[in-house]
Amino acid sequence: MATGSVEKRARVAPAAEPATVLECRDLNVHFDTPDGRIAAVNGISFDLKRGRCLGIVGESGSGKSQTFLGILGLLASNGHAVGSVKLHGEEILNVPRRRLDAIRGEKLAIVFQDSITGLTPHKRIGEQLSEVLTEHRGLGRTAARAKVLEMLELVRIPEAEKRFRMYPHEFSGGMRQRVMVAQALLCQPDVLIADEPTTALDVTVQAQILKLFKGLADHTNTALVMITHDLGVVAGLCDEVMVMYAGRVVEHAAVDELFYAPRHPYTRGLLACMPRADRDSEALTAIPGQPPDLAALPAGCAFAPRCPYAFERCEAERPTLSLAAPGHARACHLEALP
Amino acid sequence: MLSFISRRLAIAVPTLLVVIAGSFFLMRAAPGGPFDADAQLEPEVIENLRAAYDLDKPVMEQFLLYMARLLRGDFGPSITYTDYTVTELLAIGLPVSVKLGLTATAVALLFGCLMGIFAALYRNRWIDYVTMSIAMTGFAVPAFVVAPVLTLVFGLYLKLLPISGWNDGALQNMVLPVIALALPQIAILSRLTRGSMLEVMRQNYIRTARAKGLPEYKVVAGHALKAVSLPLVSYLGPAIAGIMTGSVIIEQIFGLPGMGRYFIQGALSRDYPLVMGTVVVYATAIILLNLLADVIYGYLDPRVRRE
Repeated sequence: MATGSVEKRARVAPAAEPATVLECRDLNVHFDTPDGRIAAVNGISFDLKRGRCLGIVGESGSGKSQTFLGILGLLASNGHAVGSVKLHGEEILNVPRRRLDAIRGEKLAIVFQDSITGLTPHKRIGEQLSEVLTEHRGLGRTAARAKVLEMLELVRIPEAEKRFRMYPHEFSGGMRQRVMVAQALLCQPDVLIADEPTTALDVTVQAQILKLFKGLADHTNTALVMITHDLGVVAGLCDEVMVMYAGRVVEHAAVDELFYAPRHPYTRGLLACMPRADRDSEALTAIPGQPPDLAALPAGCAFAPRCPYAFERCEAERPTLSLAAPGHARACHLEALP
Repeated sequence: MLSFISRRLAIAVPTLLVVIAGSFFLMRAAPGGPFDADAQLEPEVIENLRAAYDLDKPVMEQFLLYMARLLRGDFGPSITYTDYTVTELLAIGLPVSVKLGLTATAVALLFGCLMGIFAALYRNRWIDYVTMSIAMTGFAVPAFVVAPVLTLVFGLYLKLLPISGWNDGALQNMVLPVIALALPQIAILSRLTRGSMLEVMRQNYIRTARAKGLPEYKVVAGHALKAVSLPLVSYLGPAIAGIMTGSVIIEQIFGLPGMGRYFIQGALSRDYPLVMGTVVVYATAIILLNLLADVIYGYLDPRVRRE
């Protein structure tokens, strides 16, 4: 299938292609609602390699977060994930809770978007972080505390000793997000999923947090998944990108490929939306129309109603993801963008 | 925290004054008097009796006299229990009511919380339906119906438990009154707990705790329970008030020598000092216990601790 890994000259230039850590095949996520079943994610496949960074880009509701909540078994109670997800070759999708608990936080860690509600308000930061280590590593109180302090310093939290005893509401937004990152990194996970980790932050703080992730990607073997709607974040951090629209991958390519030669009209639209400092344009461009309603998707291409190049076939037949160039897949009926 | 407590105590003083004045004047406004039932007494005797209890003076003066005495810690003599002062009667009744009330509160909290938590964890399954049906019934059926039914079934038909009497607070004498007293609170607390639990388990930080790889019991015990208990603590004040007022009826039904019985008998026979004495004690207890609930709240939620 064309949806496998996308080749790319590695950033750190290791001799051989790094090993695959996470292998996701034909993952579907749906929600049962009183109004019927809603398919939030359809047939997603990708490989995640050691030390690499995969960017997932899409609008709200494109299924980018639900894909990974599904993988982690963290969907809302009416949500179901179907397909296959292998961690080091071992199936982890829909395994019993006990097995999941051993993986989550230890091998697969996630940083959520909202750090304000994402930390338990009535528990000291130190306790919240320490319990990851006591749970997975069986560390005692003092050993865990030492490791947590070390990690807090690594994510540049000043006065870690003092902060250890504080509650989440005593931290600023950026500091809380650092705490979340520290919490995710405690067990040196094989895969770190960052679900819009900078969306709720000021621009300057965003840059600091991204720098933190970049240092991480460069210096550890942790594979990073960066879920975002910000192409700028992807450009600075990722090796390859998947663009999602209405629960499907519409384009999957190495990051340079995608930016310089997008092959899906939606990706091109997203790129056109980015404000650019080097061009003297009057107004911001926007993709016309609204993201589709997942409960009432058209039979053909979900993007067709908003696509400037749509023709009859687009409304009748849904395009499948196929290779347009080596390592560059897209789901579009057009041979090449005009 | 200390300044918070002292400020609340300062506010409690006017509250208490309003309660005392309100009940004092309301009671005098009600028709009848303490010696109306004694029809055989000569009018002169009644006049003398009224004078002995200061009842011949204007109401305002009576109130000031009462307040002056109250400030010295003297609740005055009881009119119906002629050999006792109100203080002596309260000393007999208070321990009974406190023991009954505390036991009922503990039972209500224990069962209310457990039922609510399980109903929430097994939402829309049979455990949920059964506990919530019990809760609705407990809430809908008043204590004066529950108590006689309990007595009838467990006391008269099954002959398992005594139908009335205190017997120095023996366990078998406590069971029925405690159940009757706790039932409506169990009903409210379990519904409150269930709602709070469902709300908390939807929070992002619960998802974070699960994402850390904590088993579900640690997620619930370590990350949810404190937040779940917050609305319960808020309700603790009204719950205690509910149990106290409930106690008035329950003590009467089961013939327990508590404060509630003195309150009812005092009210029926227009024993003004006795009613006032119980009112003062009830009001003080409710104010203090509400303050305690607020202190616990501050302890549980670090965000309200400041200022």
